[in-house]
Amino acid sequence: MADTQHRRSGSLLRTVLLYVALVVAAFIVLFPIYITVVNSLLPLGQILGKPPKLFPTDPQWGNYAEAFTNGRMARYLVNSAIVTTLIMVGQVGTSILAGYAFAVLRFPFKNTLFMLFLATLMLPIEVTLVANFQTIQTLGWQDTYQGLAAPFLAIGFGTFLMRQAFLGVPRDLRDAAALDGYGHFRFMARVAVPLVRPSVAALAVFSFLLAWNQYLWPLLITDDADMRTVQIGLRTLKGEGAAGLDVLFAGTVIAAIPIFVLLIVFQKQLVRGLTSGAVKG
Amino acid sequence: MPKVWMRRFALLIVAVMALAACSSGSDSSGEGGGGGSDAGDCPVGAVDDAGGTTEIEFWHTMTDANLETLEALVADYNASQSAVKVTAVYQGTYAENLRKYTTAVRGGGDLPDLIQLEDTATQTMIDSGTVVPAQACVDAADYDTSDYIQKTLDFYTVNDVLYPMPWNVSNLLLYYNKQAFEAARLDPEVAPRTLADIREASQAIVEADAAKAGFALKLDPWWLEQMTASVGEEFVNNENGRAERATEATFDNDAGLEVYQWMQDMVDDGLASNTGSPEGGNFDNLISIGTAEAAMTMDTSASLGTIRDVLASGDFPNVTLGVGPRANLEGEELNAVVAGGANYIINEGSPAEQDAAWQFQTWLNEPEQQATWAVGTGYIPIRESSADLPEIQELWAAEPEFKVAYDQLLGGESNVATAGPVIGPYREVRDGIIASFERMLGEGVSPEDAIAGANSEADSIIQEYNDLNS
Repeated sequence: MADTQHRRSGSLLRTVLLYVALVVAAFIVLFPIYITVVNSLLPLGQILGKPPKLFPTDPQWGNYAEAFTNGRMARYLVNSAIVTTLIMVGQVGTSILAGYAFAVLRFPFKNTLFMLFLATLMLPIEVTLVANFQTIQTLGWQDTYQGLAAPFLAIGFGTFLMRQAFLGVPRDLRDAAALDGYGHFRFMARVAVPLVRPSVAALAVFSFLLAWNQYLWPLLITDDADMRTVQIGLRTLKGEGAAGLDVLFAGTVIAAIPIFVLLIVFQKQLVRGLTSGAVKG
Repeated sequence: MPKVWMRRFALLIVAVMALAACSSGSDSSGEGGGGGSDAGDCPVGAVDDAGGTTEIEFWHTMTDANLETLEALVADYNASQSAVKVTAVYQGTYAENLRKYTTAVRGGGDLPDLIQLEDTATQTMIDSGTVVPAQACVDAADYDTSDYIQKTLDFYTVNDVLYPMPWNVSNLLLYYNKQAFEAARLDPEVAPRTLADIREASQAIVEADAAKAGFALKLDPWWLEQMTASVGEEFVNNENGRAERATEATFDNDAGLEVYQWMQDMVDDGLASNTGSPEGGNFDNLISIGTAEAAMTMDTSASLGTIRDVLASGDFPNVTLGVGPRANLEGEELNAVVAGGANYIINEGSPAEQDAAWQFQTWLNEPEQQATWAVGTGYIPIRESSADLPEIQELWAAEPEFKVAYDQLLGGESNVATAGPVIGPYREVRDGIIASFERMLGEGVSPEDAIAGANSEADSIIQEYNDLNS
């Protein structure tokens, strides 16, 4: 009796400690987001003051209106959404196809080619910048959506991720599907991809973040103000020194909303993607 | 098997790197020298000859209130005549604008007809071989520059050729809190003039507990450049890179060492707080005035408008702004060096486009437009007759703080030292100096070793640039 009580209080203690740790971790993760939202509602003088304000007593909703018009957010959000969708669909599509080929198919020089794919992971964007710029220039795609998206439609990391995922699909399934008359394409679409959905979701989110936050390439490839993306709009909000910081915070919140929405939509898939390895063992 | 795999992988990486290196290193074009003495041709009058409307593109870096002022000016210009139509395109920060430009030059992209770049870009632009020197247009149009503040022209003149036209000009100022001065029984109406004055005032402020430290020290190489130029020291050789391309740095001199020594003593004695390097647009030095962590600092005159607005919000009741000329070395006259941005005419366009760029930027620099620009942005008007216009007179009467930078730039000597240095890898040299400040204040390196190290590092950075570009 005393023993079970002791054990029960022990597990209670552990639960309490666990929750305390989780709350602390959540606080650390959420605080920067929280303070960004708070700052977006403060006048500039209060953002710069010490100690920092943790709650807006006199919310400046005007910061949002100003960010929206001065940063041309309406147009830029649409542009960012189009380009990001193109890149995300492109990366997921090409990565699934290439990953499947490297995991399942047999063909000559497979390992060498795969290493070549991996090598692109090591190249920073600066290395390919001028070459990509020349290509897009030659195609006459400056100031177009295809020009903004084309260089990013395939990605070494995605191919690697999908190959690893497809390697986890049991070979027996492929044999069984072959008996049922499934070719590679049907097997991939109907069996393999549904099995690795968490990895696909992780890749999609990764692609989205990468594309949404792009700054240098859109700046290079566009001159027409109507073709620019949201990150460039944000940049125009901040002036010399501290000037415009309040409006910049508001603009940052606006630009981050699609990312929040995406994370909420994909949350279930992502959690499964992160834990699936643990269960399989 | 894994070993073989690894080796093959490593080989592949090396091969890819080598390929990348070849393709990026092969096309360093450009004309040599600190600039030829022949200014070349400028097709003045080509807009009229072409007839109709000539459209040009202007790449700039202005944001926030400055962007609004610029867009209004461009709209005025386009409405005022029909021969030239200007489209102003924002291209990021100065560094990003230059990067976009050089990428477009190398990648065969569209170039602008006029581009605004900062004071550090002069040699890089000369080396790009894509500039119509403003001098050529000045000569061809018989354009009168006598009304310009001489130093704004000096800064952009290399080998007697004026390359870009100065446009948005700023300077280094001393900002201080008059209330802290009062609390420390210092005269709030007298700004410290020398580094020794700042030290003395800092002692009084710390003793009276009017602020935690007297001075907020930003690790800004610009301060070093200004103060050594003021005493007639050249920052790099070959007449500050203006007679011929600079090959060595020369800032390891007595004046430079005095600045380094002062910085270290101020921090060691608890009189200054180190607020970090200017990287990322850091303005912690200004904020620390507002939060009573310090009572004085130095920063660009371009921040004055924002400082005024922030203080007017009433969130800093313990601060009353005082503005003075930037501090100087003991016993010397203050001789300022220009800072800010300038506009380059690009030679890739048609004659009419080049002429249109020249016309637009001279219009921007007319006294009226310079006055509007100065009031809207806080930059210094670069025309002496702008200063007489009612717009500027009213501003200065209401807020005399805005006149300090103008007076500072107008006064003092004009010589090869105060013209400022022309350095190809200017930004990299500055980064090296920041690192040397950090070594001195953070790692206990002596001022002598810190400045000597920065100077020799600058030598090799300049050498490397020259090897690639001459």
